[in-house]
Amino acid sequence: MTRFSHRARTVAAIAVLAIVPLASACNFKDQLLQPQQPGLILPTDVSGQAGADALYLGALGRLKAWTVGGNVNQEAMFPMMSLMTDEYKSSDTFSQRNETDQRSVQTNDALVQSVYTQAQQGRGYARDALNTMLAVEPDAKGKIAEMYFALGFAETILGEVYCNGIPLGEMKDGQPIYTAPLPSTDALKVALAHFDSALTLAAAAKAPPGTAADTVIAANVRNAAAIAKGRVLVDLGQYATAATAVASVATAYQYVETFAQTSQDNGFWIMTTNSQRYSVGDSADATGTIKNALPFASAGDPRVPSAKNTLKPFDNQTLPYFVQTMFGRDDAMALLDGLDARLIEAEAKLNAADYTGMMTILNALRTAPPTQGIFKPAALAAITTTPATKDAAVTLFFREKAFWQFSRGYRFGDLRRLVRQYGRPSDQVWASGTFHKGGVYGPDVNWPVTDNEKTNPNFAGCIDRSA
Amino acid sequence: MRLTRSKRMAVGTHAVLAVVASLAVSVPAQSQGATITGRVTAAGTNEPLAEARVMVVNTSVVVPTNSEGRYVLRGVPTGSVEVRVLRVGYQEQKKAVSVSPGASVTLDFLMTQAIVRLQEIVTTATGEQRRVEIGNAVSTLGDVNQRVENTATTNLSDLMVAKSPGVVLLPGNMTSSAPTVRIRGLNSLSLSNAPIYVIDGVHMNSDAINGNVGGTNTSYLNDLNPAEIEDIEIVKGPSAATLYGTAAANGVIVITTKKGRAGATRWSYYAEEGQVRDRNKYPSSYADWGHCVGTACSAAELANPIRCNLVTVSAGLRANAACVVDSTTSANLFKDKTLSVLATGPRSQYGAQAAGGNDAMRFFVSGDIENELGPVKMPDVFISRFDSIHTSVRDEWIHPEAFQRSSFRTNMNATLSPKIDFSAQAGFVKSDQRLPQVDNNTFSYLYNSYQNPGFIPERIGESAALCAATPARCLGYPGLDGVTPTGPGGGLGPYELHGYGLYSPAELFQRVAEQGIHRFISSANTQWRPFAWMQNDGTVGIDVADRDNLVGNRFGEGPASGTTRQGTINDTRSSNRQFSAKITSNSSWQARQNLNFKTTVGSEYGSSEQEQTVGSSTNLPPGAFIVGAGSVKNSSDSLSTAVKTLGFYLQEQASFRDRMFLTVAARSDQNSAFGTDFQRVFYPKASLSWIMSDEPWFPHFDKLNQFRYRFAYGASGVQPGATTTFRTYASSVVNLATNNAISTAKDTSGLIANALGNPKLKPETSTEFETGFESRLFNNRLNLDLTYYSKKTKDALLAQPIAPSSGAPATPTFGGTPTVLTNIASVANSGFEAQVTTTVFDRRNFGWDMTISASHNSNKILKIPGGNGFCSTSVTTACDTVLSAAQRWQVRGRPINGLYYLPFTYSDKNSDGIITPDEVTVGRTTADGKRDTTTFDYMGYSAPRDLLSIQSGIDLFARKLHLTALIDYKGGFALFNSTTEFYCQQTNFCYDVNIGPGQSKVGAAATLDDQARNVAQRYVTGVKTQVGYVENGQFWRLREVSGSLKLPDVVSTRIRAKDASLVFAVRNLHVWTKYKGIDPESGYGNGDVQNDFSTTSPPTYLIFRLNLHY
Repeated sequence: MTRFSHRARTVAAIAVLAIVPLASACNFKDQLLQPQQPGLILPTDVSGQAGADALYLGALGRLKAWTVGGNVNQEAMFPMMSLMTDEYKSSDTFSQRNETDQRSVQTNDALVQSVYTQAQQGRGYARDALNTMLAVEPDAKGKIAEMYFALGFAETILGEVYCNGIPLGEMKDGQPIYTAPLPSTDALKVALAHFDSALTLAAAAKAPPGTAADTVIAANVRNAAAIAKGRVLVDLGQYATAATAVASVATAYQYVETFAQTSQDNGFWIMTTNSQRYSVGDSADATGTIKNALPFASAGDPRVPSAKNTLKPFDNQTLPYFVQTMFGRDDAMALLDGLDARLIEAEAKLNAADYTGMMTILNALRTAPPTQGIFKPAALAAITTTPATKDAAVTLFFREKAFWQFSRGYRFGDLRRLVRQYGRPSDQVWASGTFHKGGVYGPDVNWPVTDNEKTNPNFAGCIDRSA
Repeated sequence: MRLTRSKRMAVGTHAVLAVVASLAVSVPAQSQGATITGRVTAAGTNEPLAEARVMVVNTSVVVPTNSEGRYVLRGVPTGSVEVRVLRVGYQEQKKAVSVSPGASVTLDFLMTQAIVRLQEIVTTATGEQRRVEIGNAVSTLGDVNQRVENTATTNLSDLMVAKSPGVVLLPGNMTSSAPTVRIRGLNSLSLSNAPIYVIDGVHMNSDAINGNVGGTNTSYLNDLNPAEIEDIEIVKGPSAATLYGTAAANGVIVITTKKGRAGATRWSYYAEEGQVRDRNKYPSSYADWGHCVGTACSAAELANPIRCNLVTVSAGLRANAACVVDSTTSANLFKDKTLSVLATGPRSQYGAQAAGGNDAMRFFVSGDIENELGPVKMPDVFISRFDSIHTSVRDEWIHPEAFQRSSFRTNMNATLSPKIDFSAQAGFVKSDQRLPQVDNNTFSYLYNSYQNPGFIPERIGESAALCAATPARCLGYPGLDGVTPTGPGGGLGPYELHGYGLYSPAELFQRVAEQGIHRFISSANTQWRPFAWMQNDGTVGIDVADRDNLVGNRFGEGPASGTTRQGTINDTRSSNRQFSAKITSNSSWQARQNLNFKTTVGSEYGSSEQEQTVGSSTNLPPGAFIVGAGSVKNSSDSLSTAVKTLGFYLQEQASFRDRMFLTVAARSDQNSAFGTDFQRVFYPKASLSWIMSDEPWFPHFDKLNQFRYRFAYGASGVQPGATTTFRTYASSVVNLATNNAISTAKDTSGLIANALGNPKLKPETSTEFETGFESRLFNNRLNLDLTYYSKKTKDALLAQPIAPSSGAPATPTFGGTPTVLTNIASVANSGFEAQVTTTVFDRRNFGWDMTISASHNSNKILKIPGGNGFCSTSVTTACDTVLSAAQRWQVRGRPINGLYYLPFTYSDKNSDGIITPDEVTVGRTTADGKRDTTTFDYMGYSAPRDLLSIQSGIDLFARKLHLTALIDYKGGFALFNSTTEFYCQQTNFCYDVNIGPGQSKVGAAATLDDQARNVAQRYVTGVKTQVGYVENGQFWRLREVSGSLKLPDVVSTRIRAKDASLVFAVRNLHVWTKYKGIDPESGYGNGDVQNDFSTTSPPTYLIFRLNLHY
């Protein structure tokens, strides 16, 4: 037992294992540990032109996803916005949807938080693609213009629906650059600047050096950015300037968002036909008449087709239940279109007290309805009576606008504008009174920027919740 | 099959390690010493004791005794040596003997039975070791075979639940669903807090598997057959798990399978038949039927009954329309024998085992088949309905909850030479599982049962057809699925719901969720003792699992929701491979007469690889149920991940007079998941075990037989996820129209930013010290083991949130709050564990033993970014400013996942027995009279922190009848009763909104407390709170009761058995609790916080078992 020293024994023991360190000298260790993850797409994969193009496509996909794309049981921004208004009502069990429908939204509302974050991420994806394209294919001006358009569109919606206090930061070298919260109007002005950039770049696109495809893209973006610019100008109360901005857009124009079962479904189909969590809104329900709500379901208006009680509501209690029949699973929608341009012009007429001019535009649309996505309603009879007062004209205009732009993400901003720009008290604009799931409608006229923004050291909550 | 680069490297790596192992084996033996032979027998009876461990102290020379109790120690160093014998159930014995070169000496041992049976040898990272030499508390389950034979043990969690202090185990809630195990509190905010598992030296996959049924998971743990297990040891914390390295900070569960024993082949057979019952108390639904009074009542309201609730009665339906309750009905579909989906599920298990061999070669083989049908079954009324429309009913519809497992194992131990032992273990399991749609799921049978409106139409005189024709007659409940179009292709078509909400069990159970696993776990170990002072061990092993999860329904089947009945299928196939290789060398040295050293050096390599491919399709043709048959197919990318660890360790142990044992050690790890800016981590360790009662200066008391002091300090880690270090992009398929023309739309691939990555990632490192003592008292009748531990986790990984306005991407959910994993937090755990093991009576005809275990844990977040830290389960917002109705937050100074809610107060001001919104105030009133709705109350831990279990066994009738019982307690935590909360928030059927006619004068009415909590979460204007549904989760459960009757010898002899026993055992027999939900152990998912929402709890098992030994 004592023939070997302890040191000798330790050395002997280590020698037994020496093969491992020896192997390590042959880079064996690195092979053992190399963190190979063959499924990963790394920054080097997107550093070239092909990568930039892929990011551009990805950003367009996200634009569609955050606006109207549908997942299994989760909606994007436009469906959620429509739930806040009288366009749809919740037939769901999720408290977040019920509270949104009730206009009583908590600052940690998971779904409002989700659509807020999606829109902000939509900006981020557009910014990623923009930065990469500017670095590796600066002559692709049409695509770059479209990314500016995508940025501006997200900022437009954020400005239209969220409270005063919207931060618009960005990521740089993997680190967040946080900014101070902006009042809604300032957020809209940021969007306006991005639409101007889009318009300038789109106008400059040419082939060569830009490709022919790029000039086609640029032509499309010119129309889309013009409508979006007009929309923001209307939001800012610059009606005449808005009308000028959209004047060149043809009524038949559409910036389309298409869907396929193999990639993404139409979000309205998901929330209504597929999951029955939304019912088309109406002016009355089981509790009686809903103050200020339009009869979208019961009016029988061909612009808002629906069916009553052919499906069961998800909550098994919202009766009657109306399912929309406008959108199928794969049905395309128009993010912006010539109809929007005409309505911007009509609103300019309204604010210029040219009610006849306004009616001319509205009746032209009624008698020759444009196609939106793939949906084209039957022609309507012209309205023969021209409003005599601005109040009556406003009421008529926004009713027409609501039916024309049903499910298009306009109603939320329009109701807010009726308070902000047209001076109507909020309880004479938003659905009010008894809520069909118990209690009464709440006081919200916008959404709070949600709590997950509070990581931003500049943000402590909404500046105010006024319209 | 294509080999990826990582796979090719893995193959190469494995080959190199195999060479290393074989080299170790091929080195020839060199020296010769003396030989000691002898026999080990039991004092009093002189019965030979097999499987006693005979060892030459301070050497590597150790052998087991054979079935005759004989042993042969070869190569014994010459001179004066000590021989020690250890055996479970007997007191350790040691004898000194002097041997000369080449001599052969005989040394017999007469072993005295221990009154309290403890495991004297435990398995450590460096090999087997005497318990008394270890500075940590060691939890062993003891005689696993006896537990399996005598209690209702169906899986690994049954074996472990309530057996060890400090181990919180939430059993799976359904047939073979996944348990949740946490040891000594929670360490991590973002990573898994689950322990790792090692079986026969191989790292074992223990992951929970998404069951695709709404929440309930299945588990790789359930591939283990308890009947094949010899022992389970629970290594509780970093102080003991240091040498297991990165991944071991949450504890290690070490499983040893049965080994062969020298002697005649011994056969064991068992047959088990049993029942599985769901004895939970599911809530009833209520309907307050009333009539409308007032000028604003509509014609329909005047013509039909209307539903009232506590708000419409007090506040009216609307102005000038009041709701007056006339009567109340209630229904409980689970209690309705005709309609209930609950039935008694049969269970059976049959198996055979053989063990034997000789001194040179020993073997163990076993085979087992297990079948279990859970208690969920399609009610006969719906089966009859199918029959009436000539639809054949498949068994998977009738029994949607089922489990079948076939397991086979062969273990072999060989003594190749006096210096070389070899063992190989191989187990194969084939398991198939089926679960019904359940939990948080529209298609859940629970959800649809709870959606009962408070009555069954045909039972209240309203036929289903009448309800459908005039929903108002049935308070709006259609009763008949007449509003849903007949499924595509015909299928089931419209039929009665019979009180179910959206879908009946007939539709729900047509949707199938199945899982199949093929699992192979194998290891080989070689021990080479070139010198008496040296032992080298090499272990190589694999754990390979091939899994297929299938969920969907055929065309024309399933719930009539969306496109479901067009046929859907989702097929997830995955492959999981764990490779382990380990080399250890132990050398011992006697420096002085009473001073011995043992040096251990070792290296360990582990590789865990996973691949998964998901294929799905919709629009299936009739009858088809494969992905390829659908007209719309989707296939997700197969993402391969690999986590690899290479570690080296060195340990030095010193033994003073065989009564004081000092150990110091360190392990260094590198891991593929560490960031590129971080490469290596060191984990130190030190421990002391001191049998103080053996010291001459120790005061000797009559009642104190042994006192051992323990102290241990150590560190270990948990690695980040396989890919979290990388900044990545993800593919995104986009449907785009070329030139903005819809007709040209097609799918095309794009990319989007995905994870932000963090190149500086390193493991979470937990350091722990524990101290305690082990004492034997009252003539060795009572063993008391007390431990205090204090654990600190630094560099805890936190998914640090990034504000959305940055535009940062979120992984993996679009719209999720973006985060980046950062080593930034710190968490502390401390607590005590106590275990008393005693034999109260030990007579020939009567015995009574008892084990009491208790533990208490305190968990605290020490460091977290932000003012008061980040809050909510997803760690998204600063909790000092968040407003919420219900949150689990991470707050400095509080436990992980602490519960925080807004308080409320109420007062029935008008004493009408109805709580109305104006009688409830959410928040608290401040000194200046204002209402504060931003200050949340801390409600306590969200997981049990106090554990107590009492196990007791009684032997009667000359020990032929053995009765056992296990009662356990969990407390110190609050549980969110989300099932009640949800249904009371969403429906008018729940108890809390039921007021009955005459309001408070009717017994069925909800209490004021229950009304108030619902008003506070549902009806008050402005800020709401769910705090009323946070309840005390503590409970006592009668976990196990069993009786084992040894059959008379005349019976055994007749069937030629050595012995035979009959067992009747029950599991989960009764629970005592004030929790108002289904059960305080209702839970699905396997996160750190129990999720009670719309789920069930562990069923009751009643089992008869026959054990035969030959």
